[in-house]
Amino acid sequence: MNNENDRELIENCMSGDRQAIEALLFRYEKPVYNAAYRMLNSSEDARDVTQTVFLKVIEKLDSYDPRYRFFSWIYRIALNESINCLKRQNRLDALDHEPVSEASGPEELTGTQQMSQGMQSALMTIQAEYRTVIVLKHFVDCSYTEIGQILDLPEKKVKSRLYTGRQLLREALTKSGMH
Amino acid sequence: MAIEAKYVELMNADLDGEISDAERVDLAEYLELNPEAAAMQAELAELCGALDEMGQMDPPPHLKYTILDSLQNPGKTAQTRSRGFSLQQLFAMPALRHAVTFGAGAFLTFALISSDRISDQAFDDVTGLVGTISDSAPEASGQNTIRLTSNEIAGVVSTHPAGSLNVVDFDLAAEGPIEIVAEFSNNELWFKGFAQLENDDTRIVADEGLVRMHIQGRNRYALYLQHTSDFDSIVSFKFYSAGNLIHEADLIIGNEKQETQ
Repeated sequence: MNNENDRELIENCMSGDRQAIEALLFRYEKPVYNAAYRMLNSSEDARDVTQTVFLKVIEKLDSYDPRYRFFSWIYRIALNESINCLKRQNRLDALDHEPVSEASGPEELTGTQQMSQGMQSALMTIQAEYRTVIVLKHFVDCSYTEIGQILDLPEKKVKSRLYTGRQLLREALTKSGMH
Repeated sequence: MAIEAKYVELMNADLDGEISDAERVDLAEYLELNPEAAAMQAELAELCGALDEMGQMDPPPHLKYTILDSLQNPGKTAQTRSRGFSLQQLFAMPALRHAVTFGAGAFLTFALISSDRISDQAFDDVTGLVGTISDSAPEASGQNTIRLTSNEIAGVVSTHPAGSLNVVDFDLAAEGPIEIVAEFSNNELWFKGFAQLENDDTRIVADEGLVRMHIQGRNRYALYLQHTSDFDSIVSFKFYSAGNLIHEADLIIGNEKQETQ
């Protein structure tokens, strides 16, 4: 996550450079989509959230403070939008989530895919505040400091949520017979 | 023996690559003396490994183009992007005379869509485009139109742009069952959605670079294709009755559209 490259790109975006906007989109589309997907367990919702995030980013670009890192800002928007999406759908408990692979039945899944599906299902059973830190750590590859910046939390709190989140995840996997 | 909180923190920090050399030595000594803690560390490592192995999902290939299109047409986006766009809102909008038919048609056809990839990744919300057909009547003659006047099928297939999308309108009447196959280069065009405006029994199957439709009777519906190339793209249509090819024609999707047959 190179903030210097981002800064130059953002400046160009702010001056209305379409190529810079495209470059920004190409740089962040996949990680934003992945963060949203892991939070929501739905490709359709992740797609909508990704679209909303970029619209908000471009719309509010003039309010972005370049003293802060751009990725913190965009991931914060992505996670907030994902949580808003969950709230809208009353899915914070998320017990009736969609299957991860809408195209394949269980008999068609490989062992790795089954594990991945089980893990995603377990992830959906833990509270959003814990899921958020796990998503940032394991799917966006953020450090404790970066997670703290994104969520505006002290590092100690980040660690505590991450450990608790993992513990909850282990329990959910055990309950589902996956662990 | 209970595991000390300090070492639980160090175990997690170790797995996250956020541990100092001195802490690592301290942790290793502790784990050696505490099998319970070592077991917990192994479990945590397995869990983190499984999470990391889940890897990255690829966004739908058309998503970035949809977003770019939305950025250029923010007014349209407000309708197309929102999943919170409720039926009540839809019905409250004026002049959507096909909304009810569309809703039923889109729902039924969505249920019938079967595809390995496209149905999951590229079937988009087309509510923002409801009314496209009624708003844009096919040109009376000539360009971007296929006219059918055979015994088996009669009517018009036409195309027109709508932002970065291209809409292919079908207004057809078929005496018996007809299969329509549309083929296009998957590098330039993506199937984005389908709306049924009249009749609700069109069956549609979308795959990469290919859309198959089965119709009978009077049918009015629209296909939405995302066009990403600066150059024109060709969609080749074949019409089959009882397995026999009865008509074949191309439509050109791009800046200057015309019928090639």
